[in-house]
Amino acid sequence: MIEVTAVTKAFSTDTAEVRAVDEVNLKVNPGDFVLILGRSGSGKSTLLGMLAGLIRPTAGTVKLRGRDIGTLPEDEMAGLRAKEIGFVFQFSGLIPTITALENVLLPTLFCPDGTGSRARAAELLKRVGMSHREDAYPRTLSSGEMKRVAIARALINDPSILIADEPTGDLDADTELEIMDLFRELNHDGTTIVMVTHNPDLVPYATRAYGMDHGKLVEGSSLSSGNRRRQPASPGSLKDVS
Amino acid sequence: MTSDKMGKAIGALLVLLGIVVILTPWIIFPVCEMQGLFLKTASGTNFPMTCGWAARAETGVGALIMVAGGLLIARSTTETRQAVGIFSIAMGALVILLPTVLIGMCKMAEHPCRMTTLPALELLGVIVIIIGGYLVWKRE
Amino acid sequence: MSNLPKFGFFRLIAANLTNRPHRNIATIIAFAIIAATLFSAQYLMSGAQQSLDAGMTRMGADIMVVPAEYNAKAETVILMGEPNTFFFNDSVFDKISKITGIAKASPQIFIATLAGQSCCAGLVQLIAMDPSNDFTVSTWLKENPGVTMGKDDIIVGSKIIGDIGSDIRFYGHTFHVVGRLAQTGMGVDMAVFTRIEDAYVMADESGVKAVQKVTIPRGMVSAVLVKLEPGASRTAVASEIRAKIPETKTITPDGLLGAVTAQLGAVTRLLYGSTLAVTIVSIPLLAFISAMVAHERRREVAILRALGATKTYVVRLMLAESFSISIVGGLIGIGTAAVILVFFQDFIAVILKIPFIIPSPMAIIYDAGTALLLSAGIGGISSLFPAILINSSEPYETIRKGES
Repeated sequence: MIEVTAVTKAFSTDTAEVRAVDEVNLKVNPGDFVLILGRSGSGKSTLLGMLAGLIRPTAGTVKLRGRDIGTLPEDEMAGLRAKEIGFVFQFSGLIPTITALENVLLPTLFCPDGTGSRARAAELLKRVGMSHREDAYPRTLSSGEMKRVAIARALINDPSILIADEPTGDLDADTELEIMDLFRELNHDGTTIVMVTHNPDLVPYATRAYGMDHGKLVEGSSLSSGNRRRQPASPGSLKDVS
Repeated sequence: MTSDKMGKAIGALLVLLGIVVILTPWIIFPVCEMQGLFLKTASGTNFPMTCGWAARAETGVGALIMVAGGLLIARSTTETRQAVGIFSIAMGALVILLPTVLIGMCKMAEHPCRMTTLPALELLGVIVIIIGGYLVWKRE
Repeated sequence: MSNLPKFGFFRLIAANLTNRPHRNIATIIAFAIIAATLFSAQYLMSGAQQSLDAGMTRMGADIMVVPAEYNAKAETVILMGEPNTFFFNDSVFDKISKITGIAKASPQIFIATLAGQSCCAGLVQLIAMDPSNDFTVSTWLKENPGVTMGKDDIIVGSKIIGDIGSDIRFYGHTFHVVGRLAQTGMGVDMAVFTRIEDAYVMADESGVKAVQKVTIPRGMVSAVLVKLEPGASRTAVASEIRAKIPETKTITPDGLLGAVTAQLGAVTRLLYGSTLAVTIVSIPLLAFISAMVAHERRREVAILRALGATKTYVVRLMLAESFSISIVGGLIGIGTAAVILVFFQDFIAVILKIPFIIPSPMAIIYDAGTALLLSAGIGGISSLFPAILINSSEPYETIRKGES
């Protein structure tokens, strides 16, 4: 499904070159639930961005179903994203001026010949347990509820892969488990999932887990679960060298 | 905005409109006697013209509009809103009818009362009617 | 299942506009002001033009001959209706009639009056004429056309109060209203026309019956209206009149038009100047607001792009929103301006000193359309740069910036 070969993303600061992602190799097969574990600044989100085609690698290739997405033109990449990739942001990213149902339908605007429809959107909301809040606006939803809607939105165009960037980062422990149960269910029903998180307690949900540290990917990592303090953002100015 | 807050806001608006209705023929767009134009009787005394009487009547109606607005501010229930709405429509109509049909203004087209006071009152009357209509139409 | 309208591009725009009213209010007001200013300018110009056309086509007379020293006053009578009284010797009338090229000549006497009994202060222009000789007033009649004037009959201008069949008094003399002229927006709307012999009777009796005596000297007229034979040259005949009868001046429709156009010109410059000023101030202001809003929405745009929206789509979305706001604001501005202009039209015409009639519906639609077009154009221009700018950032960076 996704093949990442020797992918690197480098930024140049005033002092030196920083490699957010350093020669990473990864293969995601259909049906996988891949978890990438790492602290803030480890480069996991940058890697995810490249998997989703939102960030162009400095070196190496990212192939989605055999197509090298690192070299595609902008508009074509946007179309591919709409059709093939379902993305769940850390903070849900719902548009506040439209209802939950309409938020789920949003990606259908960019994939007009896709599978999305009002009926399917309603069905997906039911799947994630939000059918009673179809007409609600995001400001009236809790973080957990917004996250569920975001997941439904990610699935509307029947994507090949669901990519989630720290989807439980802003949730309390109970809600976090509920969302993870949902992910597991979706994976059992056949959805391929790649997820990054800094919470090692979530490893058991995945079929495969990796660790990420200073841009390098490590197989089957086990970061201690004690240190969950957020790290400060990278210092200096980052200039894109891609 | 909750309907209670909306009711109070409209009440305040009505009070303001009532004040404007009162002030219009005397200060904002004054009628003839405020600009020195009077009827002179045979004995030489000055007498207000038709527009002056219409202005006095408008003062009364303006005060009533203020009272309606005050009522709505004090109690913004559904029934009060409906009642104030109906009365606003009636009073708005009166604001228009007084200087046109019931009392009238000066007949001369270039008198200030005809050129400025009359259209201003007509416009105010229409606005009050629209507000009254809105209050009646918005049930809850 | 919800009953919402079909979700699409336009629903997204509508949702953004209706669910963020506070942010959009300033912009809508700006567009309302622009559209209102331009529409008002156009509307007043259309109305003035309409009035001129109405007045000029109905004037009937090709040349109006007046005493030399009173030329300016005669123009104000016709155009703005400021009543006046002036005379010259009626031997002038015979001399004029004899000039070649003249088909008909009709004398008129102008008298400024106290108004009729139905009011108090305020002046009306009384014009005494010879109905058998007249070729101007009769063509102007709106109500009761074709009426013949008998003893003490009077024809009133459109703004004079008094229905046909009612009585009206001037200088203590009672007249019967038998006809009303169509509105021209010019001075004649405030004039009344009687027969010369009735005017003489009125003047003679005024010493006793009226509050103030008026004197109409016999053998004097105020103006002679001239109708030319077909093919005769207006300028040639006018020069001949001035040459042969030195104590006179001639007024032609073109001359009147020139005078009005000059006055209109001043007003035109004022109105269009205001529109230009408002536009020049608004464009940078709107561009600034647009840029601020675009900056605020960069995260939302980034999300859209992350979900698969192309850069073109985003630009289309922002332009469409801007157009929608500009049109909404434009309609509000035009509507408000129209209401005020219609209600206060008499006042405005007097203040600006222009002749005015409400323009035809087609003219109003055209004026509103032009104003709306300007509003939309400005909307498009001011949002173009921010729309393009917002696309330049990388969506993922923007999204993640919001997370930390």
